[in-house]
Amino acid sequence: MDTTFLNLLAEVKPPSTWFPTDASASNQVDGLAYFILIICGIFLVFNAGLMVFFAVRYRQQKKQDTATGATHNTALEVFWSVIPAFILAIIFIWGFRGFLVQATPPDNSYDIMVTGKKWEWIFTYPNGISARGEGSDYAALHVPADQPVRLTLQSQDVLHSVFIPQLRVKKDVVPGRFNQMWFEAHFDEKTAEAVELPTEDGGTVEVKRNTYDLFCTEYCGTNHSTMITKVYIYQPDDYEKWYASMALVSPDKNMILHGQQLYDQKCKTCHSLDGSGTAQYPTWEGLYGTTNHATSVGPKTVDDLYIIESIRNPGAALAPKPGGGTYPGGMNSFPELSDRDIRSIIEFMKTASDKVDADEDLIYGDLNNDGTLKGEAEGEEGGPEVETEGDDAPEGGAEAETDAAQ
Amino acid sequence: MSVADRPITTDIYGEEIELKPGDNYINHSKGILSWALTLDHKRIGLMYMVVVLASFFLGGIFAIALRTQLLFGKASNIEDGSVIGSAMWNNLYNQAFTLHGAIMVFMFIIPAIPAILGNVVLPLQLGAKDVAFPRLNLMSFYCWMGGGALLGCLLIGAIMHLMMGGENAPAFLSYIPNGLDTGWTFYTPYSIQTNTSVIFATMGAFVLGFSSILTGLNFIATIHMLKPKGMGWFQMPLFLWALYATAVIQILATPVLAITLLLLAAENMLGIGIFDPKLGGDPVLFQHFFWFYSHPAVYIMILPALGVVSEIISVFSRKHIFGYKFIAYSSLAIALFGFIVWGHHMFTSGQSPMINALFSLLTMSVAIPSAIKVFNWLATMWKGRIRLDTPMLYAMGFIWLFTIGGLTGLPLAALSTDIYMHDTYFVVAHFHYVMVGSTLFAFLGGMYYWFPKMFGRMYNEKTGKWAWAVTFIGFNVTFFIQFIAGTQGMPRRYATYLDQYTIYHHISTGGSYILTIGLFMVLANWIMAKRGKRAPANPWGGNQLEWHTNSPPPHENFKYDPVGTDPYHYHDWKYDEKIDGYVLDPDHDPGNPKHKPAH
Repeated sequence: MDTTFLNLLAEVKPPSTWFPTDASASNQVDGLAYFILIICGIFLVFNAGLMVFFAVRYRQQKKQDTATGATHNTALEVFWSVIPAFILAIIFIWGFRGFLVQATPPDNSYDIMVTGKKWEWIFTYPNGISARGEGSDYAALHVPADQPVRLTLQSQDVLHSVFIPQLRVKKDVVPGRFNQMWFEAHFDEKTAEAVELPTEDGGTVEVKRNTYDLFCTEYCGTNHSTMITKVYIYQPDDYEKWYASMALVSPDKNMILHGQQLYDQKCKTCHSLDGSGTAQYPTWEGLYGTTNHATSVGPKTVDDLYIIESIRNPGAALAPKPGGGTYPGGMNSFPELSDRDIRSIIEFMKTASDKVDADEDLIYGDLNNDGTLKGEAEGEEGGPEVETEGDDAPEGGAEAETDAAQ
Repeated sequence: MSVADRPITTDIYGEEIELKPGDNYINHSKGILSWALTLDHKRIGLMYMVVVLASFFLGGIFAIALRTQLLFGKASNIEDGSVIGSAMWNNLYNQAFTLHGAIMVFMFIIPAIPAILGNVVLPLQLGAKDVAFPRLNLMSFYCWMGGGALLGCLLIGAIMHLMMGGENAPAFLSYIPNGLDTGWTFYTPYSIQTNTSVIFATMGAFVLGFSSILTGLNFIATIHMLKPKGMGWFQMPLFLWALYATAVIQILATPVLAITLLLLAAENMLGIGIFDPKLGGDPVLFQHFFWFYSHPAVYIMILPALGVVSEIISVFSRKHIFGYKFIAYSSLAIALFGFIVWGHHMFTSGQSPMINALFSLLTMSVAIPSAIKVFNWLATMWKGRIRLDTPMLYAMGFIWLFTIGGLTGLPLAALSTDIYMHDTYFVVAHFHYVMVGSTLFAFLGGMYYWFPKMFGRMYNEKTGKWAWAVTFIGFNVTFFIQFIAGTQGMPRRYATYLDQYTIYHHISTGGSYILTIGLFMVLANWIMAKRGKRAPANPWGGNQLEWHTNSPPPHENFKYDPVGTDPYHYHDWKYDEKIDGYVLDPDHDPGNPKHKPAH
């Protein structure tokens, strides 16, 4: 009997953790959360216990009873102010250190671009393809395990927010700027499911993957609550197979190609890609990633935010011509370009620059691993180097775009 | 004629007085105009009570509507063509949670304690005849009515659109406001793009804000100018300290909301490009502006509640409040810190990590004055002679709810954990514990506590306790489970949800029904008290000055100018079984000209 009962107990699975499955190798949440939970539990039991105990122990016997006693005790007040302050300091430091890790994508991150729009998610991979093939799950987020994955977030309309509970990450998707988030996923063999994917030679190949949910957590209108997709996590080998099959089924969604088309339509008349024509207009050759001496606002790195600003508001940060003077005339803004269009132009612009790898983004607010701001560090290092390298290089996106519309 | 209806009550010395028409503020004059144009702070307080409770009822209807939608909203109930999960279903839900939030915040929680209890009690506790600016007080009431009317039109418009909208909508419908679906936070750029009536709603909140500013201004002036003889700053009841701190926030923060809402309206109508990223604006800037008001606003909601609880805990423990100065200063500290923590609403927005760190640290600091208050209340109860009447039960319920609400703020203030909890049901549960649970319980406790003073009748104690138990259980069932839903990853503002969250939503909805029953029991108890026993001048034995006059007080509040004494010194009040109240030995009443002590 006893053993049966024990067996039964073993089968009853109490929620083993307060949180959902932990699939993250970059988890900065659970440890601190449990610490706080314990602190909360102690204080709650202490406070509520004392309160109930006093209410019972010191219950009034006769209604004329009044009590005398100490009305203040400064030492006690200081004591119960300092103890919480001490605990709060621990929680703050712990939380801040964790946050620095959360906010700092490692340099070897695998880059995926995320576009939020009412009410769907679009994921664009390093080959420039937004997987949208037959079979709905191609449109979900597919990531390799055991490697840092960096998501660059952009919105086409309103605020959204990416939330993956099992990976313990969240970041708002803000129109007009590019936010970043990163995580490193574990692969869990036990809960993995097998699926078959098409291969180039017409056959199929089996891969295994974990499946989790990705939510939108910033209210975005009518169908906010169904702006949910899946996250699939593969072993690195299997991920290669998925990556190849994704390129097969969704061949014509290449972001760099899209950027090139936009360049041909809107930018090419003024901005060269080979360093020519710089008397009139800045060239894009080597432009991305250099430091641009914008006259009014001090040195700026030609990064994603700088480019989006230059296209939206060309007068905000103007650059001088190499050797002095300014470019003739300003550039009109291009309100018809969506954030995604600008993103595509940036991706294309990168191909004309040797300052960065094709899959590297420069975004203001990035932290280096040592905690300094990436934009600052590169501004300082990159600036002088660029100046000596070539006359054309320092000229920035603002002027570059400024002239294009004339 | 039954005993209860004999028109006889007792004054603070226990002497019988015959009630005559016109000798208290309720029957002082007759006719609708005598109420509508009254300058009497007590009558204005009662008028606020009627309209604010009506708003609470409205906001509650939306709460029940959305909880009921969530009872059915699980993903596997969604099929092609089903109502659940359709655009209409989602829009209904989005409007319901928006109007629930907007009405509850702007029309119930913010005015509840200051405008009702503050208006009635503040001049009484100062021994004054009225607030410093009675006409301004009436004006603030009509500001409230104006803003309330605008939001009311919004509501009626939403219903008209629901019933008449669609393909055959009559032409005039396009001129009627079309509800609101932005959330009470009006976040851009959604609030610029939605076709609901954002401008109309912001105007409503704008006008309501002026009501809040004027009340705060009035309270500050009253506390500065009308303290009685014998009452310095540190002889004031702690409720006044709390109202003072609240008023400071109301005056300093609310104008920022007004400006923000005007900018939002300008953005909507003129496209000025402050918040709209398409025009080079910054949507996160709106969040900064909005929370610069709205975070201090949560202290507008909780500070008066802390004051009410300080009063109740001491009076019902029959013991002097412990750590008076620390409680008083902690109110000011909370008001001050409340201004510099707004950035924690943007931890995931992509603002700079340094800003995040700063706001995280500052947010933590608010926990200390809050903890000081709780510990001082416990120390007050220690070795007290505790009466467990309904107000005390609410105050103790408050400590439970406020402790949970406060402690669950820690993982939201710490950066790494907030990244996970942000915008999940954990946050929903947290702020309902603080704003709704704590403030509502303090408000109900305060209403019970001052009920005899306000209406001159006693409510039914037994019903009061049962209603307390039902509301307390209902509240905790509704919202505690939401902490777990949140840590399991359930995002907020979802009209439908994945199946793994079903159990949490079902329990929560069940709890909300229990809570509703409890609240109706409270209301019934108050209404039935119309026939209740006549209240003595001091049923609880408090020594604050509002207990130094008859229940209900005369039009001019006091028959003679009272003198301030230590409000937490209860020994001079003797319990009188005959009247079930406390009476003062006239020789211990320094304010009574007829009973000067011999020495």
